Amino acid sequence: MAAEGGVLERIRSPRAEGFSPAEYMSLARALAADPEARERLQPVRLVLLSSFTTTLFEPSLKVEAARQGFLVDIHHGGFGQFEQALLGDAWRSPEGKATEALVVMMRLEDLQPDVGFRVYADGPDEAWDALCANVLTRIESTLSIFRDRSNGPAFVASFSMPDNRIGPIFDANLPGSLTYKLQALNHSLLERVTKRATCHVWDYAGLVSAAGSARWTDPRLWALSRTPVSSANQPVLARHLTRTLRGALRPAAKCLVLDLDNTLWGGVIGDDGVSGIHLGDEHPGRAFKELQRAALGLRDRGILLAICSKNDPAVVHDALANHPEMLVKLKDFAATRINWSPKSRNLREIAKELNIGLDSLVFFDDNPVERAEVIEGAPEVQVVDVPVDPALYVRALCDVAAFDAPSLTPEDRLRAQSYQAQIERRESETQAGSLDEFLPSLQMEVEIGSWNAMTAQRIAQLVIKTNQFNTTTRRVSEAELAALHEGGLGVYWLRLADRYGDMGLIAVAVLTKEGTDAVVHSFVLSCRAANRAMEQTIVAHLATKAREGGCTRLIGEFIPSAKNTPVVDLFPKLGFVLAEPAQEGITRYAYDLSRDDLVIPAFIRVREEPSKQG
Amino acid sequence: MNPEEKLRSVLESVFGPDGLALTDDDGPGTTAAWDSVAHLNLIMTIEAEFGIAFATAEIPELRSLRKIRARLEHVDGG
Repeated sequence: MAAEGGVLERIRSPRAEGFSPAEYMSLARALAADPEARERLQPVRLVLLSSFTTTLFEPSLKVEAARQGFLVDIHHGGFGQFEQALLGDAWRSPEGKATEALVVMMRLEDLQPDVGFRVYADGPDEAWDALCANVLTRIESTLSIFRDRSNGPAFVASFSMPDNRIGPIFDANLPGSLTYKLQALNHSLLERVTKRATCHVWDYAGLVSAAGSARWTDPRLWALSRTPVSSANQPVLARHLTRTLRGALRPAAKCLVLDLDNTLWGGVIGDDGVSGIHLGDEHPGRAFKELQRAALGLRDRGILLAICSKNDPAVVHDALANHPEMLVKLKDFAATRINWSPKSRNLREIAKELNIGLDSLVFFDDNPVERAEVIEGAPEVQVVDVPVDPALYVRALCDVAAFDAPSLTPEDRLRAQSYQAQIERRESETQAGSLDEFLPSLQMEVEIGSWNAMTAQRIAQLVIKTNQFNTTTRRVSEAELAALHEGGLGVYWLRLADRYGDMGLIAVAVLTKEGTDAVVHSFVLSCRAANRAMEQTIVAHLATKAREGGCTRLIGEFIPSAKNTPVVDLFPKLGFVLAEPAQEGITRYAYDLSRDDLVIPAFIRVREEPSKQG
Repeated sequence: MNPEEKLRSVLESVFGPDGLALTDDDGPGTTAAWDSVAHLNLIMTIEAEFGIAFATAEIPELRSLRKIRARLEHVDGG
């Protein structure tokens, strides 16, 4: 079998679902000899303790582990050995560098062959209770021994229904039947296992039933080798176990980034209109509505959602707010990039905005061209190989191993919540009919103060970093700011909070004195706080300070830069008149301080820091 | 691929390059690599590649490459 490309490349190809037994064996051998695999994969010593034979699992386990990023070296504990298999050192990693991972697989029918047949049919059952107690005790003592000797994760297979049993059809009607006894046992297992650090239940029962328990075992292989998993199902087991391993050893992805057209709904909204898209409970809209449900399910588990779509934002906002079948709303998305920029660039921005790594993003887009652009331009992003048929979307999303997490902590839910403030703010902005209605609804509260040692660093940072809302773009250092504060009318800062949260120190103004003129030497505003009447608030404050300083005019200076067009008419809008046309690039506007129409808007509550300046 | 080529490909998958040097007399136990686990791997791989299923009783009886070749002669296709 000729090797084409690297082993890892072949293993990771989307076709990997379809390897034959021969390919698994060839690939497993090639892996062992591949220096690239040794270099790039995390070594794991996989210790398999089971009530049956596991040696036949090796080729598929090694290959599937490599797909998840692990180079596994397998130790088989020996048929039916549990605690005793961990007493020597044979199970340990030979070089001692690998992560040790324990897998305990105990089948009830191996320990008590009558299970499924002769007893345990219904009602209270002392023999059953004794069997369960014995099984759980053995599992617990095995875990204890492992925990004493290793920091690695442990996985205990849940109990599956025996392949063969009497009464499979109506046992679900008997409260004391094996059907319900197994559920109770698995629940006890959960409690005993998960109370221990890094010990997990491996959902073997779920795996068997998902794969089809009737065909899980090949009776011939079972008879000849005590291997209870058919040749065809061994890769299925390997995929499930190694995905479980990955979920425990690797941090989960944090954000699902979704495309819109033909992903979150059918059709192209720009062409078809809000009423023309496919979304609903019947075909062809159902597949898309299901995908929305699944996305919200991930959000419930603390995965952030984001939009990355080439579209007109107004049309999208309209659809999200008003389409009757739309399950996702704008507020469900922690970040949105609805524009015509390359998606790789938008994904980088989303990662930055959410303050997470690019490798924490999972990208779901129906368009293979966009996926290819992202794979090329932002290779860290995990790109879902989205099937062509929308009916298969949901399964593709559910199968994303990157979202697997062994537990759901309160922090996971908080993560989604911490973005809620920003999201709600944005939503009320789109809901409010006008800025005049919107701003009072924010219940803004500002605190205004003057330069001091506590704020010096943040003030300097804002002055250096701000490009757009910066009237003069004078890059004044921290030391120079201190001097300007002492020598002029003061350096002032403004903090803003609203009903959604505290935005911190978001504006700075420097006021100098020239005779009876007070001059706004610099004014910078964080763009997060744009369109919030902060310009008027701080300039009104400057007017007050100028009057206190004995000035008769307040002068606003404007120096155009490549980026500061948002403040080109800041002073005229506030009632200033042109005083001096541009000289050496500086335009000056004047406000006569005998006027009294420049005031802080009534809907803003002001807390002024007591001034201690000399 | 004719049946013989297919068999050689299976032997190479299961035993590596050494699989191509196995003779008709080789079987479980004649080489270190052909142990009971390898035997089952070989049988399962032959089943998958040739699209056949052996009876349980047959599997331990296919004790040499000669017997395996003889058994595969009764299989259609290739």
